[in-house]
Formats: sequence, C-alpha cells, structure tokens
Amino acid sequence: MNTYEYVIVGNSAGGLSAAREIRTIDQSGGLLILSDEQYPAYSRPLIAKHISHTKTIEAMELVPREFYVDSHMEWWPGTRAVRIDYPERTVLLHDGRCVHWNSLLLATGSSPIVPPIEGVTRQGVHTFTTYCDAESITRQLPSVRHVVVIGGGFIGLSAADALRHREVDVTIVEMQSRVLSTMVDEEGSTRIEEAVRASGADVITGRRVVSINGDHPESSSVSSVTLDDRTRLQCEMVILAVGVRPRTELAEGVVPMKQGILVDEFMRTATPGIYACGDVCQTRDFARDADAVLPVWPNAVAGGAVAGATMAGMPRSYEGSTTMNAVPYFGLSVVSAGVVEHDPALHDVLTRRDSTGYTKVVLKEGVIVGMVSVGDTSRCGIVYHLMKRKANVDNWKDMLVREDFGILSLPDSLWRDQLTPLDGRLRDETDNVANGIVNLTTGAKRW
Amino acid sequence: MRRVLVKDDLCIGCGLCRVFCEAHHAGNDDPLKSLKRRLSPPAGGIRVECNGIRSISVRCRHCEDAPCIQACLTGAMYRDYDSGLVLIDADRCVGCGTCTLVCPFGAIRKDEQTGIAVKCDGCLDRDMPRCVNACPNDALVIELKAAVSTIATPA
Ligand SMILES: Cc1cc2nc3c(=O)[nH]c(=O)nc-3n(C[C@H](O)[C@H](O)[C@H](O)COP(=O)(O)OP(=O)(O)OC[C@H]3O[C@@H](n4cnc5c(N)ncnc54)[C@H](O)[C@@H]3O)c2cc1C
Repeated sequence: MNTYEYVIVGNSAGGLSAAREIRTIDQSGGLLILSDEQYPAYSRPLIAKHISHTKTIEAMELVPREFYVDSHMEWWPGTRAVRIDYPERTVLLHDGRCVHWNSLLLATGSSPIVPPIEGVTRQGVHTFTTYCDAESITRQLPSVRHVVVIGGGFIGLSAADALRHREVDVTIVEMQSRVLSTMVDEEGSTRIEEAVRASGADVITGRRVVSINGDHPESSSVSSVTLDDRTRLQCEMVILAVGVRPRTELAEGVVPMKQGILVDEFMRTATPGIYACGDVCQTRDFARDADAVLPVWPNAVAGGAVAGATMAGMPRSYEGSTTMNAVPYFGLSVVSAGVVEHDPALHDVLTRRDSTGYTKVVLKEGVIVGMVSVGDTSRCGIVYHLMKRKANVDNWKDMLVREDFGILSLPDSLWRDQLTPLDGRLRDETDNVANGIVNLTTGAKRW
Repeated sequence: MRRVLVKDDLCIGCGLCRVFCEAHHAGNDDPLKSLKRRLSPPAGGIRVECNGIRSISVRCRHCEDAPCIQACLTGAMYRDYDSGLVLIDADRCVGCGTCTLVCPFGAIRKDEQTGIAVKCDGCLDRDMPRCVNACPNDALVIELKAAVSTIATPA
C-alpha cells in the first residue's frame, strides 16, 4: 500500500488551492489528489461557455497540464474514494486499491439535487454541474428546439443564458415566486426576470414540474413536462437546476456533520488528521455570525488555502466568508453578498434606484450585513469590505448609496494608509529599507 | 515591484491621470485622437473622486494578499512573477464581476465594450506609468519595492 503525507479528495477550487498552499510550505511531502472526474482542475462556473461559445476544457483549466508533475504531486483522474478507515488512516478506492495517509482533506464539493419527479430518468434530462454535463447537453442540442430549465437559481440562469446563445427556446420553471430568490431581493429578481424575458426566454414562477413525459411509449426520450396546474410544455430537453447539496457520503460516520462537515477555524474536523473545505463543509458566515454551508467559489479557494496551511504545519485561521455572488447573465451585472432579504424589525435599509441600476445596503445595529447591486457595480467592493471588517457606519451610512460614493466617503482611518505613501516612508531612509522600499519618486512631466 | 501611490493632499482632482491612462490604453498617447467621439470611456484603470475640496486618484494597489486573485472564478486574475503586479488574462476573463465585488478600493470595473474586467496594469510597457507622467502637481508617485519572497517557511 502506498503511503502519502497528504491525500486530497477532490480536484477543484478547494482541493487545488489546498495543494498549492501545501507546496509553498512543504515542497517534498508525498501528495496525492484524487478526482472522480476525468479532467484536470477546471473552472466549474465556466461550463456554460462550452454550450454558448464552444469553449473546450483547455480554456477552462485552472493550471497548466504540467502543473501536477512540476509540483511533485500525483493526480489520479477518474478515481473515486469510496471508504475511509479510521484510525487506520486509509482510503479505499473504487478499483479496490487502497492508500494510506497522514492527513486527509475532504474537498468533495457538492452534488446536484435530483428531485423525485416522475420521468426524471428519461433521456434528455440533464443535471448541470460538471464539464461532462455541458458536453452531453451540447451533443444533444442539434436535435433540440425547446428546453425546460427546472430551477431559477444562478445555475439554472447560467444554463438558460447559454442556451439562448444557441437560439433554442428556453422556459425556466421556478417553484418560488421569483428567480434568484436566495441571491437577491424582490426588486433584484424583478430586474433579472425582465432581462431574461428581453432575451427571448420565458419564466414561469410559483409552479412546480410534476412529471417529465415521453409521448411515445416505446421511446424513453423527453417530449414534454407537466406543471402542477396541468400546463404542458413541449420540450426535448430538461435541465435540473434545483440546487446542490454537500457531497458528504464519504465522510459519513467518520467525521461529525450537520448540513455539511463541521470544521473549526483551521478547517480541521473533529477527527484528528482529517480536514475539509469548500462546498462540502460548514464555515463561518461573517455577515450572519453563524456557521453555514457557503457553496461559492471564493469560499472554497480561501478555505482550501487555510486547510493546506494547517495540514502542512503552519496553521492560520480562516476569516470566514458569506453568501456572495456576481453574475453576468442576460447582459445584466448583478452582485450580492450577505443578507439580502431584510427584516424591518432587525435591519435598517438604504436604497438607490434609477433606470439602469439598483443598489441596496442592509445594516444591523450600524454594521453592514448585506448588499445587492444591479447595473453599475463598480464600487460595491468598498461596501463589501466595510461589511467584512464589521465597520460601524452608522454616522455616515447615507453615503453608501449615493451616486458619488467612493473612498472619500469613508473616514480616513479606513483607507488612508493603504493608498497613500506614509510620510515616514518618504523621509526616513532606514524605515524605507525596513519596508523593502528602494525608491519613491515622481516622473518627468509629459502631456 | 513598481506601483503608483497617491499623495491625496496634493491631488487636485484634475483628472489628467485618468484621461492619459485611457488614451494610452486605447493605443494612442494623444487623448484628443484616441478619445475622439467615443461614447464610453476606453479601458483605463483609474477613478478620480472629488468630494468637496478633497480629491483622490484611485487605482489598483496590487495587494500582497490580493482578494481578487482568490475570488477569480476562472484563473484570469493572476500575480505576474516578474513584475509582482496583479494582472488580468483577458482571454480567460468572462466578466462575472466577482473581483469587483471583493476589491476594497473599487479599483476593478467592467469595460462596457469588451465585457471583461479592467484595472491598472502598471504600464509595464513604459519606463514610468502614464498617470505619473501626467500628474501636474506631483501627487502621484511610484513606489519601487524589492521583491519579497513568496515562499513561506515553517514555524
Ligand atoms: C454551473 C455552475 C455555475 C457556478 N457559478 C458560480 C459563480 O458564478 N460564482 C461562484 O462563486 N460559484 C459558482 N458556482 C459554485 C462553485 O463552482 C462551487 O462553489 C465550487 O466549485 C466549490 O468547489 P469545491 O472544491 O468545494 O467542490 P467542487 O467544485 O464541487 O469539486 C469537488 C470535486 O471532488 C470530486 N469528488 C467528490 N467526491 C469524490 C470522491 N469520493 N472521490 C473522488 N473525487 C470526488 C468531484 O467529482 C469534484 O470534481 C457555480 C457552480 C456551477 C455548477
């Protein structure tokens, strides 16, 4: 049996980030990355581009192919981990092989929820979370005129947007009363629905698909879906985008979990030697002051780096993340973070709207806990940063949604030393040397 | 690493840094030629803020622990090892806006024409960043910093 210092299950945002971090600290300890996908690590959010712009996997890969070899890592594609034995510290693979590890990272991500709808196994029904899914959708497209997308969250919208680029008819069926209901507030949803309709796609909200039908008894292919009000929609393809859930099956019985695997601020599970990061675990939501599953890319990358540092013996704590998203679908820029649906009893709300845009900031006791922005989102990062720092903005909160909001709207203490050369740096040579500053100069003038 | 800092007490908010930055990145050093009759500003990396008597020229400060690199969904935002600067691989960027959402300075925006992210690229093609040459009041300075080791050592 092979023994590795580090075994990482999952070769995506979280797993890759951890592997890179480990290698900045420990260049030689044996490192194995397992992945049940065939491809090198790729940008999952980009899979829609395979459908819309025929982007291939090469254009989505996160690291050059030589990366694994150059970094002295082993990467076993198409290899699924099926069981962890503890305290033996081994992991059994689908082909019967077994590897021994000293520390193990579970970066297994999430899997798409397949709702128990009649006919869900028919041909032409797809989930939409892997490059492989995007490939099979693209393969079937030439024989498709109508597609029903079940679910109006960002994965559903991403699929619908890509399909509109291919000029097929798309209908999004959303069970809630509005699309993107977990990402934006009601007004945000309205603006997005307008953009979706303007692109030629249809949105049906407040309805469920109750069956996926095939008209020919001898064929297993999809030909329509039926909604709970008995409406029938013709379609040759159905995309299931009703959400994802942490892929915890490997961890079952080995590490404690609630909605996801429980980890501490160093990304350690309660079982010594086992770590977790990304979509599969619960981490600190700094906007809500609670632990939650935060299935977004930046959380997996940042959490993975923390896990890698801890595994390699240089623990540092994770500052946490929050629900956050930026989507460019249907020609509309939308960003959100933290609490988007406010409770009037708890929260203060500031808004600004005009014909092209909409901005909302949610505060709790003078501290920003959430934001939504549609249209011009260029300065939302300043707000996000204040939220992350839990800065008390009560005295000047009205500035946050002003059209001229910017760095100068903030108290000096929040930005000055970051953007300007400190006087000390200009005058004191020794200080400059200590700061690694060689020279500070202005150039000759030219207009 | 070479980056531009601003002495905000000297900044008069004239906006020449922004204009020359945009002109330079539009491929022509003459703003009158390169900006002529454009409806939206070309790709530049500077925002000039004026607030009463105070003003400041804001651009990417190429953070050491750059949140935009960690947040980038596609690997488009990267640290250039030669210059130490944070740069965007335009072929990889899809304009999702996640970098914009996490930038504490609001220094990354989406270019209307190309739909992808733009920010200060440090004018690596020039001896001196264009904005520094353009500032009439010496409010912009470049900071030259010896490269810091990126390899951490175990405690
Ligand atoms: C279509 C789509 C669009 C998205 N858009 C955005 C967006 O715009 N912004 C954003 O922030 N996030 C977005 N996300 C979410 C983002 O992709 C995830 O949060 C991120 O991929 C999580 O990374 P991860 O490493 O935790 O897990 P994953 O990316 O899910 O990777 C886990 C990997 O582990 C493998 N694996 C699991 N179990 C095993 C096992 N037992 N053995 C071997 N391998 C295993 C899986 O096959 C997979 O390759 C999107 C997701 C999808 C599907």
